[in-house]
Amino acid sequence: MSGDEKWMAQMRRGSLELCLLAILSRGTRYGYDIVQALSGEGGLVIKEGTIYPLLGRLRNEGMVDAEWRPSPQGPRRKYYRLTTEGVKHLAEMRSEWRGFADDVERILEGRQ
Amino acid sequence: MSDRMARLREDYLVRLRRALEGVSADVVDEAVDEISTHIDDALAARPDGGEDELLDVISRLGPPEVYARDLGLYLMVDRGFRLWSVRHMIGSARFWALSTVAGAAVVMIFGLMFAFALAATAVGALHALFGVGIEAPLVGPLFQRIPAFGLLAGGPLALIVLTFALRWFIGQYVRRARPHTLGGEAADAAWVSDSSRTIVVLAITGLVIMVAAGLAAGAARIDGSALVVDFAPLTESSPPAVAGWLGLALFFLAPMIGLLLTVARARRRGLR
Repeated sequence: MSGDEKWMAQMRRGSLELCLLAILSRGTRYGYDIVQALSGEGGLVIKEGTIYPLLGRLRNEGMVDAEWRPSPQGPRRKYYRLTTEGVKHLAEMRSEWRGFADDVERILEGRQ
Repeated sequence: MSDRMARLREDYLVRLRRALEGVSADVVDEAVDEISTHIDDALAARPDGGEDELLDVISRLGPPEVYARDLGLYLMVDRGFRLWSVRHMIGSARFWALSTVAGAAVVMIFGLMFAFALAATAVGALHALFGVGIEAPLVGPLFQRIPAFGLLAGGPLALIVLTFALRWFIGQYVRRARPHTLGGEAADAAWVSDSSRTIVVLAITGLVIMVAAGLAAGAARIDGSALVVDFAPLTESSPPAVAGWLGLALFFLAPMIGLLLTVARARRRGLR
């Protein structure tokens, strides 16, 4: 992996949790559906399997809840949704991200 | 789906099951169900749904060995410590103990504390109900000083406190020790090795102090060709006995102190 690729991989990983919470804030979703949404927003997931431990960790932390439900297309699926704690955490992350992005943008454009 | 495609799909799921070895069967089934649904959903979303596309779906998922252990641990911890399933609490502790040195040390230390609390309950109950004396060589001198009612009340209370402490500890550890598959990079690996080292060093230091103080207090001596162990000197308030108990306390508190020290160090460095 080249230096640029490593840097991009780190950027993707660093912002993955924020994007995942943001996607779940728009409604209940299942695993592949979440991966599709993340892929549509700049290809954030490198290996799709890694999304499941991340969902597990967020569930351990009480940010996300999950339940198995039958799906109209066939087998049952595990659906994830944001909890009240997750909504609060997302708001904090969003605010921190905006501050960080503004700082980086200011430096890149040479503004004081 | 052709036979060959079904075999490819099954091979991937068998690899996933193998990577989840040590995790309880219901958790393995849940993980396999979720990943197999992912494969089916991804394949159904492709226009052709042929063998090449199945291979692409599997390749995009990544090798199960990369994410299975993290997934297994999180699912076990979720059932054990969030939903309070004792079976999964023990299972996740066992799985964790087999995965890391720090895990093994922490599980052993908590295991001993649980054993003491259970022994206190049992000894208190036997003493209160049947008047059975406390003769056990290791716990006898300690428990003989506590009234049976104290053991009977303190034992279960200690079990409850220990369960909450273990839940807090694992929650903290799982939250902070982010695996590399989830974006954990150098800082996370450094955090894990720092906390592991601190916990193990504290536990060994406590153990060494305890043994040295025990020898100094005369709790163990060579008599002819036999090693004689006598815990009575440790129940006196001599300096070696006090040092021995402090060593024991350090050994048992090593996971908590180690975790808190690592968190404090990381905060000072501005990492977490």
